[in-house]
Amino acid sequence: MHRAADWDLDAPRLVNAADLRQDLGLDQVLAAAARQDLFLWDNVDRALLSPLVDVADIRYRQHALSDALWHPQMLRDLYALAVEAIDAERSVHRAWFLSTDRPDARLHRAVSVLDLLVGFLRRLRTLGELHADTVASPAFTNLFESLSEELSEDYLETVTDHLRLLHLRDGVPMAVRIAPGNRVGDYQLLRPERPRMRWSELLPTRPRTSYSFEIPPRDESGFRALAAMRDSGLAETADVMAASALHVLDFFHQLRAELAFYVGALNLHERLAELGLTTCFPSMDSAEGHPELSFHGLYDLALALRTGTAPVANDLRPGPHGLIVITGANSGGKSTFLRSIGLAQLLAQAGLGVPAEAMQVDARPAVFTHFRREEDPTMTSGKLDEELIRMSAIVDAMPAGSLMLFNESFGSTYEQEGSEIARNIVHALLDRDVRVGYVTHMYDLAQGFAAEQRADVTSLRAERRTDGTRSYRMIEGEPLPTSYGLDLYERVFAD
Amino acid sequence: MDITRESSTTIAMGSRDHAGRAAAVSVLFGVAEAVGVARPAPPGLADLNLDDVISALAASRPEYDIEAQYLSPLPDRAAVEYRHDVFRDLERPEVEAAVRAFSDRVEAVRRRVQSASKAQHGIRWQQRCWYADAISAYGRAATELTRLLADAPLQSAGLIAVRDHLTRYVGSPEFVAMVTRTRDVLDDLQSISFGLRIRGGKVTVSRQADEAVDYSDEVARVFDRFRHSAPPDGPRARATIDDPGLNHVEAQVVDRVALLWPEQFGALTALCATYPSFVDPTVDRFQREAQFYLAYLDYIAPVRRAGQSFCYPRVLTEERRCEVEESFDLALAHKLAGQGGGVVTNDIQLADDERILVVTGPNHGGKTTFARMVGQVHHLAAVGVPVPGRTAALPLVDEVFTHFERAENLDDNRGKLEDDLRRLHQVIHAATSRSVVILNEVFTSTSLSDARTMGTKILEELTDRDILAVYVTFVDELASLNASTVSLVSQVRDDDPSQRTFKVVRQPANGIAYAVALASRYGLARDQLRERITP
Repeated sequence: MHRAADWDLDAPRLVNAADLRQDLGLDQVLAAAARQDLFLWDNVDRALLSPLVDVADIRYRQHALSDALWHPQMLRDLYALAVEAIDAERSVHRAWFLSTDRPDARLHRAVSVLDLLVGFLRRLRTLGELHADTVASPAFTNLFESLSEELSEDYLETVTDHLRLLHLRDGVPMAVRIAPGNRVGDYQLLRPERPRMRWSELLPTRPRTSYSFEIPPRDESGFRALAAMRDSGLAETADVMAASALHVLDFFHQLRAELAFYVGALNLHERLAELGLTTCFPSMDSAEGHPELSFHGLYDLALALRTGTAPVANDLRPGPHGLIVITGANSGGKSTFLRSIGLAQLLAQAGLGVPAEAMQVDARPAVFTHFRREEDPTMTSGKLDEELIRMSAIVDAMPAGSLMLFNESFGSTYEQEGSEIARNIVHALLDRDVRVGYVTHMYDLAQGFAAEQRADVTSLRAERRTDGTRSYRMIEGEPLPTSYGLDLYERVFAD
Repeated sequence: MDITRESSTTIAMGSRDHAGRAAAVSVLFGVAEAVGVARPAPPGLADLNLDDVISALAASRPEYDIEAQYLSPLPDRAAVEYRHDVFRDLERPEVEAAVRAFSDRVEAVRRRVQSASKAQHGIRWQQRCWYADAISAYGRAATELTRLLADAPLQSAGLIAVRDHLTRYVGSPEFVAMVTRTRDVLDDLQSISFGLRIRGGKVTVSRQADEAVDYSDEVARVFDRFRHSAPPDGPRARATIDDPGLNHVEAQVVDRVALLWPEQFGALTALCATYPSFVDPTVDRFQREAQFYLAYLDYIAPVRRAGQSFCYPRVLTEERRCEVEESFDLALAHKLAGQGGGVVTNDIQLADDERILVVTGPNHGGKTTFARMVGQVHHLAAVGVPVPGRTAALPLVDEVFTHFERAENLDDNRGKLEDDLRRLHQVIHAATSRSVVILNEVFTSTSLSDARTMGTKILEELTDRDILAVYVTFVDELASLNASTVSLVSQVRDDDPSQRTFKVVRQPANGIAYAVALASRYGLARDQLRERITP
């Protein structure tokens, strides 16, 4: 998933993940990717909501996804193996390695877990060797190469030998010292092999070189003490083995999670192919400090999946597009258009294909949505209050350079007031290099931006044909003082 | 040969050594045998919040009985200065460090002797070793303290006497022989290394036959590539099982080791038999008495770090005045220092013919804190410790008496007044011309005119008896009652009268206080209203 490090499975998703899921229709996308598998759902969800910002990282993932799409069977086999390994381990041990565990118990459990997982490592390496020549992406190439290098048969044999010794069938031999206080200290584990008898030591004339004693079977505290001594000798080795077992287990968990993402992406891809819809990997390159956005044939993926048909697609000419103000006819596709931009941004930064013929987009640290919500059911605050509180929370979490999508925000008060609030907010956001998409009916607001004649402000209008019908296309154009609500009214009240 | 000696260790520590010599040196009292008369804590200390201070001091060293010394005023100026001198020496960092290190070591010695004397079946070897360890640690403690004090520019009679004693003692042939022999015995024991194999319930102890290759290292190497992080740097210390009372299995192991190495273990037994007691009584007493000083220095250290001053008060015997600059409430300062803050300081000033500080001013303006401060500084001065303030000159008092308002009982108004008067009577009755009396808001439960009348009577009584007092009241007239009274007013900010400065200064009572006090009793003062009415 990442060039440098493991995919951090505990990494927090964007703080506004819930808003994004709701406002951008992520559930449609996740459902198509998951095919009822919650684990797939969760991992695609994580990828979408913890966007990559480094273009090289995105390219790395796009590459790996290409491999996966070209070799679907290989991907599904690898995933099945990872799932099997974890299920097997779970059914036997449910490995919990608590730091409070006694070393003896920890060692025993670690050895059993490793006994089991070494077999899966061997199978995984074999599978990798089979496909090593067919993959092209750094991600899969590196995985297969490191498996083959680090887990050679010789090495796995050595590991198996030690695991056998560590069952400690001949007791625990240690070298110790008299420590301060006439204690026994400085415990050091010796190779746990059968003790070698020396006949000479048994001759009665020799001074004795050893004494033995037995703890009576009912002496519980005696056995506890004995266990503590044994644990002292085993502590270090137990730590090493527990860390090893955990690491191997982590490796399989990590592998399963990462592969789950690609399996989800593959599922999504296959579903779109069924519907005859295109996707493409977006180009993420942009010169430093020159934000750029353009697309050809961008459609709303969530809408497409929901309706099962190809929705209207839109184009946007190349440009910085620091602020895109969208005005125009009611039910003219403005919200859908805004959503398609947000969703494409998340898809692109997850390393997935975007629903377009072609797209150029720059990476953004985060995506925020401020969509109109239902009236506050608790009536604790007015609608404008609620909107401002929500905006304030967004600003708390917002890094400079984010993507911010407003849908009819601050429209719940007098237009002049709402405009003034919105204008101040938007200007502040632009100062912080935030790209803003703003769908609004507020002519005053939209016209105000248009009148500024800034190169980074783009005014779009939902097209209304002369007969009053909508094309659901966005065309560039200054806002108009009416939203043609009357059209809608007349259609609804036509009879 | 029976070599267990349960009884001998119990007399290893004590006020007299085995030759019957008693400790001859005290750092608490210039006259060596004078011991503070144990008496119940004066009730006034709780009102002054000094009980918190003293409890904290005592709790910081629970195994020493130092509380009595903080409770009992000293009889004369010489006794106070004897302690001041010891404090001054201890405030030299090198002396303080030496005494602290010594104290910690002796404490550890006592613990070891205690463990060794707790007879437990079957662990004789460990007990003997603890005993030998205790001798060894004691030797180190005494030697090290002697060495460190040798070049210190000591000024106090108390510490100089301790040093003289130590120098003679540590140089004696008996002491040197004991220390050397102990070290040799312990070194020999700890050079023993042996083999131990545990299989099921069977334990085998052997003169080590296996070549001791650490298998942990080999495992760590082999499994290295399975591990997440880099291997830890170098070999880590291997633990001894940290159960303090050695369990009987370990004891059985050591018993076998003793059979395999009889010479080294026999030497240990002989050592213990030779020294049934080993701590010098003077050394023991010094370590105990030093706690009085160390505990107090520990307690005031955070307050000093927060920027507050302490000083050694000049004890006045002839003059009857009282002058303290920039003093403060020690309990409050300690609490605030813990939260990273400082406190407001105030001066105390009484000329020769002035006896009574009458404090008026707005509520929550620092009047009570000021009253406590005056009581505290007198008591602390009398037990011979550094007091809060930049400079101080004080008479030596015999006791600080207090009367603070008790929790109000609205159902029983007359009962409360009666109770107040009874307590007040006891205080006035018990006080002497060498006492300090702190009276805080005595007559709040009665009418203004009654409070004025009764207050006048009390103040006149105090004046007649020539008693040094603080009287906190809302009755302005009392502030200018007679020549003995001095009027103090707690201050508010000029630009915002709802903000207190917690400064209490000499000033005629100005009348605002009563109105504010009255209003605030009903929760109607300006800042209270601001809190009650939320925007």
